[in-house]
Amino acid sequence: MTLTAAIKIAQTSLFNASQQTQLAARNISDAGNENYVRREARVSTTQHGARVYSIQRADEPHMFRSALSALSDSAAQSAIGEASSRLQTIVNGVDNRNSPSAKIDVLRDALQVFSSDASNTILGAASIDAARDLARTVSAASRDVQAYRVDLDRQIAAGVDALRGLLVQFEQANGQVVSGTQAGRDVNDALDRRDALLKQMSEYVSVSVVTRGENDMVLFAGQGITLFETVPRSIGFDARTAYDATTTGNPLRIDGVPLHVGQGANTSAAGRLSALVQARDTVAVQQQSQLDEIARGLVATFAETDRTGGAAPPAAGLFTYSGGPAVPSAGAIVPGMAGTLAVNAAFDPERGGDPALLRDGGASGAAYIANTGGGAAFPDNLIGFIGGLDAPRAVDPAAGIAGDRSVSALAGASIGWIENMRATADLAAQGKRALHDKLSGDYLARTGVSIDEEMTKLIALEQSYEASARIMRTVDDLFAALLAAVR
Amino acid sequence: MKINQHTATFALFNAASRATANMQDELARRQAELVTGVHADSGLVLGARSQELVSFKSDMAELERMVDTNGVIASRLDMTQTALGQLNAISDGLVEVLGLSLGDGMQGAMIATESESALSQIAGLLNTQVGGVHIFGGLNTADAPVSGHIGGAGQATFEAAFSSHFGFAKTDPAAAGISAAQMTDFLDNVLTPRFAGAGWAADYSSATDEVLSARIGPDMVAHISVSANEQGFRDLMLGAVVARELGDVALSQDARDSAALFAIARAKSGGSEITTVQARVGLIENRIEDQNATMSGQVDVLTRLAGNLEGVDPYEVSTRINQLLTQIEASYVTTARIQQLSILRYV
Repeated sequence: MTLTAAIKIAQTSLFNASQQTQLAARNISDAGNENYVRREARVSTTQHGARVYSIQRADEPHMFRSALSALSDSAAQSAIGEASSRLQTIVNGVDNRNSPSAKIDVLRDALQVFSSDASNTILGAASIDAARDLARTVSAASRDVQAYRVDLDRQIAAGVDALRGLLVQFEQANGQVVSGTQAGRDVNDALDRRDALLKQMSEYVSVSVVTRGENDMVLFAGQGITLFETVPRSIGFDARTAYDATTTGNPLRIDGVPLHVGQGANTSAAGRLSALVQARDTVAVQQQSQLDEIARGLVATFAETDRTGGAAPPAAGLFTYSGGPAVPSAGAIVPGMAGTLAVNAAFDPERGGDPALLRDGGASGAAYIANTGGGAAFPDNLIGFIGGLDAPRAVDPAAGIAGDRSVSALAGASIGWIENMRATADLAAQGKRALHDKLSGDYLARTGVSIDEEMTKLIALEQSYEASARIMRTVDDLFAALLAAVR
Repeated sequence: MKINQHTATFALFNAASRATANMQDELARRQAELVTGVHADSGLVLGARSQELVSFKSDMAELERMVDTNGVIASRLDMTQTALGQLNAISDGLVEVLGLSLGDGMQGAMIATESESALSQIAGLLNTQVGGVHIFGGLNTADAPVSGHIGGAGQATFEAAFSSHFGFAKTDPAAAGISAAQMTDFLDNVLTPRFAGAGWAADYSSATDEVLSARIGPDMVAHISVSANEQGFRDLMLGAVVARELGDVALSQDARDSAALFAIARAKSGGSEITTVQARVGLIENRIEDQNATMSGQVDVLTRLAGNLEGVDPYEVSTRINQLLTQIEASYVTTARIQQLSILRYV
């Protein structure tokens, strides 16, 4: 009786050892998989010795959730950082060499030279060249900002597609978990897959998780919009194929509710999508407003006034735009003005114009002639323009730059604005990334596989297996001795 | 049994990878900074203060350009001074030559020759060009401001005025009968007004009274040229014209002397007016020099300020590079050692 019991116990032990060896092998094979949570065998004492009764995932749900939220924050922050860096390059070029500010300096320089030798028409043509380059820079920057908004829409649409795909996979994994749990099967692989999908989704939107009975998960995006409950909820977004300064982008809706749009350079957005919408609707729009204000400043600075004392309205001079020759009213943005900024054809020798009009005035009619004496070296008008570039005028507060500024100072402040955004976003991104690295590293360290530990276990299992085998042989010997004695 | 201090192998192996990548990234930036002497990405370092950097650089460019244009202006003023000095010498010469003729009827031909050459010199000097700019043209720098007297509108006007005043041409023998008082009356009341305002413009000058202004410093606009219409030039010209036209005419000695005295007085007052103009030009030259000195000083200060903003301390950077190299090396060594660290090697 007892010998039979001993052999039974040894058998159980062998079974345990093989079960646990298989587990160790599985753990070791997935040691390099960051989405794998290591398994542990749970054993319990029975009449015939310890017995493996279940395989447990060494999960840490709280650490996992904090790592997810840090991932969303970090993804959003780096999206804002990228967007502001991109805008900085689009508008100002490398080292601000292609910025409106730098081009205004070139124009001022050309005007200074022209004013010191105003009868020299070659210098006049050089000033027009500088002005043309400036107008082209501002209008190209404006077009590029709008093209970047189209690009952002494309990125949002791609993110939405990816998120939809992930949700479909999530539905599948969640279904397996639920049905497996109901049936009492081992659902650990499905759980791993579900967690990996959650991680991927968190890059796009912040996901909060509620676990219900039978391991069923309900997902909420952002501020409590249902993203998944048994089935994925709808995600709606229409990307625009063209933008101009007056276009408002389409909102991103999950389950019919618009997604929260981030605010600030250290963004309140969580998840890439919310940050991309912020870049499209706030950052790019303000950049456009600043370009529009620079354009308005240029048109106003070089506007011609009635010199006869009559009441003729000021007219666009060197710089004009689609609404020209009317000069826009002070202190209010004219949306999209930057995109159409150009040098007045009357001044432009490439289009049959006369650069001397810059010196003499009168492009808009005889009443606007400043050089009434006709002197070939009349410098006063040019000196006035140089002063005008530095004369403060009201800037629309909606452009994100407060106070009265000259067009040259405004262009400088616009550089300060975007660089400030970049620097703040970069600093915040470093912090948020570090937090995510730390949290996800901790989670990984806690839930991943330690090969050393598995090897130690294997050695113990080997010993245990050997010992059990020895017991069986001993019992066999004992039985043999007994049977020999009986025979 | 639950192991509390569990560390996954994957985490152990990857712990240093992000940190090492960051250090390598920084190393690349620092190397660039060491070569260029400025921040690799000044916008990221300065943030909102980038605006200051932009404004410093813009001011520097503007000031440097103004020092350049002031150089051009100074060279014109230099030429102006030379011309004025020569005009002054002409005035002195004319006074000397005319003095010889007082009471001496035999000097007529010599005076006519001398004053004719003086007239052409005056016109030549007032038509001086620097780089295609007629410096005495006022705003009208494109055309030569002064047309010559001989054979020009000025001579025709003189002859017409003489005939209509006296009733005969100056070559007429009746000219010998003109009294000193009649001559003075003609010179003061008929000829002199021809050298003021509209007459001067019609016969001699296409210059404007307004002169060139230029920005010679930030917020500093100054008149930087002299017009050919200055009183001094007109007086000198009038003196020379009288000497040329009446010096060799058969007049009574009294009338000849009163004409010579008139010409001397005009040439003298012209000379002293020109001296005043020279002083004025000297003042402008001084102001430009002062402005240049001020602006060079400002450029130095701005260069330093911009350097403070965007520059890096090469000593600090090279120290940091050494530090980074050490750290990266240490990280490589530890990573290699950690990878050696496996129980597999011991079982």
